Amino acid sequence: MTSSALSVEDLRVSIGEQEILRGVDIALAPGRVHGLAGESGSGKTMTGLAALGLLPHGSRTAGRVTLGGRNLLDLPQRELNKVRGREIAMVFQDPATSLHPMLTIGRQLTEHMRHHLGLGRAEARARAIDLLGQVRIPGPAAAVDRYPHQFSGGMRQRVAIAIALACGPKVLIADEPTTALDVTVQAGVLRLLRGLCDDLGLAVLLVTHDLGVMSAVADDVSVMKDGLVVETGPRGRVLREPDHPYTRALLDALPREPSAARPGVIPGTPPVEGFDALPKEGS
Amino acid sequence: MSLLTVDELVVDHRTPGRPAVRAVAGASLSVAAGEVVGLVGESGCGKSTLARAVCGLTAATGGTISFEGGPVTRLGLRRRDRSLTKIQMVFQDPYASLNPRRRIGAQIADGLETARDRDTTPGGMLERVGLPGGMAGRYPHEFSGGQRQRIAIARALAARPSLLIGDEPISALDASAQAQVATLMRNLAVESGAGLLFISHDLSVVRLIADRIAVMYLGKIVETGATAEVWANPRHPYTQALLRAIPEPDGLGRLPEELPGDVPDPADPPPGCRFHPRCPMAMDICSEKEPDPGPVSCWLYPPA
Amino acid sequence: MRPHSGIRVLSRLPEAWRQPLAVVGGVVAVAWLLIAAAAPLLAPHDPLAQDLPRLASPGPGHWFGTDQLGRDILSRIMYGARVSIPLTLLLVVLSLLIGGALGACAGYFGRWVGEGIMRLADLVFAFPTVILAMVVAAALGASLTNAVLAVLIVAWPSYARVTRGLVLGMREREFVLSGRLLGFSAWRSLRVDVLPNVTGPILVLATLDIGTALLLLSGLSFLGLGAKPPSAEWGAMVASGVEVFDSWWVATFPGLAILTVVLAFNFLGDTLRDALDPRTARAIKERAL
Repeated sequence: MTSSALSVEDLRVSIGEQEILRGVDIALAPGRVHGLAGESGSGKTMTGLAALGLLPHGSRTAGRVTLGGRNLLDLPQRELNKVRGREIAMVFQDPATSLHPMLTIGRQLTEHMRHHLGLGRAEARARAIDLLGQVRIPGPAAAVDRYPHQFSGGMRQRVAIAIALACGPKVLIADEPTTALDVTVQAGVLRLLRGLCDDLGLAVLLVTHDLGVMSAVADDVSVMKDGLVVETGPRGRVLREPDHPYTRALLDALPREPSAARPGVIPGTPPVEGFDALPKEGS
Repeated sequence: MSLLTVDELVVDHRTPGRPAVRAVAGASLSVAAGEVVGLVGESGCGKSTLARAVCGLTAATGGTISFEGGPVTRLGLRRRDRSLTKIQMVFQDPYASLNPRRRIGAQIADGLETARDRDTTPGGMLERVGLPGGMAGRYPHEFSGGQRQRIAIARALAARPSLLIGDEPISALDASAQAQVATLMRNLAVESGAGLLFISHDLSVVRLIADRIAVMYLGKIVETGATAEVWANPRHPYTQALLRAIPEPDGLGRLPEELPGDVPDPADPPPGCRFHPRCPMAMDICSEKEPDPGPVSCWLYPPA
Repeated sequence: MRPHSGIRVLSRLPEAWRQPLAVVGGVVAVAWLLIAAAAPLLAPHDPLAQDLPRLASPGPGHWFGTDQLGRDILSRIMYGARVSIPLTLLLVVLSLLIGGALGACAGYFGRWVGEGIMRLADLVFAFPTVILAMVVAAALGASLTNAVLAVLIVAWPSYARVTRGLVLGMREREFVLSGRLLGFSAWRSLRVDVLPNVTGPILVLATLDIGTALLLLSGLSFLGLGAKPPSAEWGAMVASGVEVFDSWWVATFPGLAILTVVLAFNFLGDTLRDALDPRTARAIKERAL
């Protein structure tokens, strides 16, 4: 048995009468990026949040999210707060909303370190500058005193990653971290993520709808549909020889060779384009 | 004669108390009837501003826009001139592009009314975009994003446009719906003999549907050409960087290439070629003199 | 056992309207409307007849007591509902129509007309509401009609301001632009695309404003700038009660009438806001589960 940094077993989440996750299993290993693909409404974001123990108010959960021998779903709030940031951290889609606009990035970086790791002011600041260098922010010693709005979108996402890494977590959950970025900028952030995963031995869960991004950085890929993982496997296998018809349909729908193959229509076309997904008359 | 000719278009955004931002800084472009032109570029390059100016939603500061031989005037409080209703636009956000309080049939009927078309029914238009005609009595909230975008396309096409503009019409959709909706727009425009100006940041989709590609960077069009040619042999360093940055879903684990540096502030563009601070092939002349507009606006390819 | 029919009706209402405060607000508001409509049938005495003992404390025959002139306070409150409630509703509807129309024009057409309207609104906003209403009512002469006019003058600007803001935001929405690109005239665009999408929040404002308008109107009567004696008007009744402080019932019961109407419409306004805002509606649903 390989030791996993974080494992999700038979995770079920429902809100009201709606079952959003219907038994999800995912295992993250140190030094590997696990990509979680799926269309909107498939439950991929909810899986990412559940892995952090962040679930919407009023939801019911079952199953296990194991990190370092403990089930995060059972931990009291106080314990969970200690785990978050120190052992597991998250990067969100939009760096514009995940950073505090009124605080310098240095302050946002050191806050966590001083709180979780009990570092002194000077020590924390030195580490903050170090981290900014690690995420390749130019001129980290000066950058530490700037505010989020003084950075471009790509740089802000790098800062968000630095903050996530501040307390040396073992697991990083990245939810669509490059979706809001331009392709040329996305390329840089993807390279960074891959490098951090390799250098620090991070276990990364990369939630993305973009199979191109998935192919570029993920080692393993899971494909979700309607709250279930329909296929899991190594990147090359899943993207080149998919077993599940849904994975194949997702790949066929992508724009590739212009004239030769116009994009296919997903058979039965569930979540987005299907008419069966429409609410019934009068609802 | 081309359907739409944009010549040396300049558009400034003015905010009181701030320097004017030149969103479009002298861009030239043409679209012929039945032709699909893809305008690509990254956020803030001015491509959406250009689209809005072509529709008359934004005033041009300089240059000319001519459509079917006449000038495009800015849409003010007066009713839009009938000849200009031949330009129709499909917007980016499928959740904002339909009136939530009206049945979709009534909204499509507005388009038919514009074209004085009494033979086509809203249901018939829905079928053309791949939705059941019987859904005309429903409200927008009963549809998914991709379906709403189809409805918006149906409404625009109902007005029988000779130029259809898509301003990032697929960027808010799920990946699987993107290519479908883009292909649908292409097919319907080409079938009806209309030109299509398709604006997107997604090169792989544009490659799929466009006959010609125009690449925009910081308010200027840096390269134009036949799609297959630009894709196979990009000449401008920016186009090259853009293509190299696209991650391919081939399962090979190749990391895309990064273009270092940030897009400069359009209020304070660099002198000379606007791309030179980030260009891996910059020469001395690049920072001194702006290259001439042309198929490739770059000093690496001096005009013959 | 079959559920009680009243409960069944309740369970068919949307979630937001089933909250306790919404039910209380609805019941009280409907009760007052019924009382106003049926006052001649319900009132035990003639509201103007001075044939009872003066300043009798509440008791059999005159449950809310009598005033200095020997009139039955309960009957006067019931008849007072016929004055205060319809006038308040009329007032709110008029300020909504005037303020809404001016605000919509200012928002959609902009330019000088809009600027002019908004500067006028700012001028009204610059004065404390009650004081401005007092000045206007005093200048026009004390009568109920003039009090209504005075409240109208201070009430329309808030509708104008809110409507303008909403219309400004809506004007740039993509479906509104699409309509204009199809050749909609400005009026048609305003009527078909803009106004139906801004009415919800404005109706919430109006419902919440009913309480304020009633208070202001009663306040003017209390100050002697509105209803003239001997007509039964709640504000005027409270004022007369203040003269005989020992007989607490003279001022307290009409005061309670004002309080209940104000609270009822505030509850209804809150509910309407929750029902129209999908986010709150969802939160209520989750809490209920």
